Amino acid sequence: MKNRLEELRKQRGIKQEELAEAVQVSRQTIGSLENGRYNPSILLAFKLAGYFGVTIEDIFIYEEDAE
Amino acid sequence: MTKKERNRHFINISIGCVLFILGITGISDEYYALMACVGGATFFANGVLPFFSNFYYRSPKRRKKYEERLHKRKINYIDERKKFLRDKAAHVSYMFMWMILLLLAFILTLLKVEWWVAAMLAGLSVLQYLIASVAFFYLERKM
Repeated sequence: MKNRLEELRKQRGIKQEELAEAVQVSRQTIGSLENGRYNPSILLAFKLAGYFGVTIEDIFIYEEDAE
Repeated sequence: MTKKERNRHFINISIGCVLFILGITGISDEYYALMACVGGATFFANGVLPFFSNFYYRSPKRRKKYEERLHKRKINYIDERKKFLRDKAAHVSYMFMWMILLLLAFILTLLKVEWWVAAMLAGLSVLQYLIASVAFFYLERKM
């Protein structure tokens, strides 16, 4: 699953630490999400979408072939 | 330190004192007396150390650092990726131990050690598997 997390974060000038603090996860988890090494739970996806004020689909792009 | 934590530490100190006194005065067998003393000292240290730590971190400068550390610990505890990694690590450890126990039982049988030693190790591997299966079925019903 691809995502636009890094793009959205950089657009808003937010550090990984700040985003991590806002959604109550570690900075490493934000790093893993941005690198596509980890797919978040639906709860974390909602938290991230809520933080950026967008929908989940605006951040995460599901690709059937990647599964 | 919350009241709940303080109570828990007091319970540890009390158990420690009781075990230690029992070890010194109440148990005649030297082996079990030593066991009680060591157990008592462990409980006592477990109960007393948090009070020292709390006292040490009272100064505002240290307090801030301490609170940051506690916050980081809390985040690491609830972080879903770390939870997932902990579960995965536990699974790897479970598989590894299961194989080691069976292998060890087999090797000891080949070395002709007393039968109950090998049986105990094999039994432990079976028990580990049974506990994992019961836990799985319980969790599956709950979810």
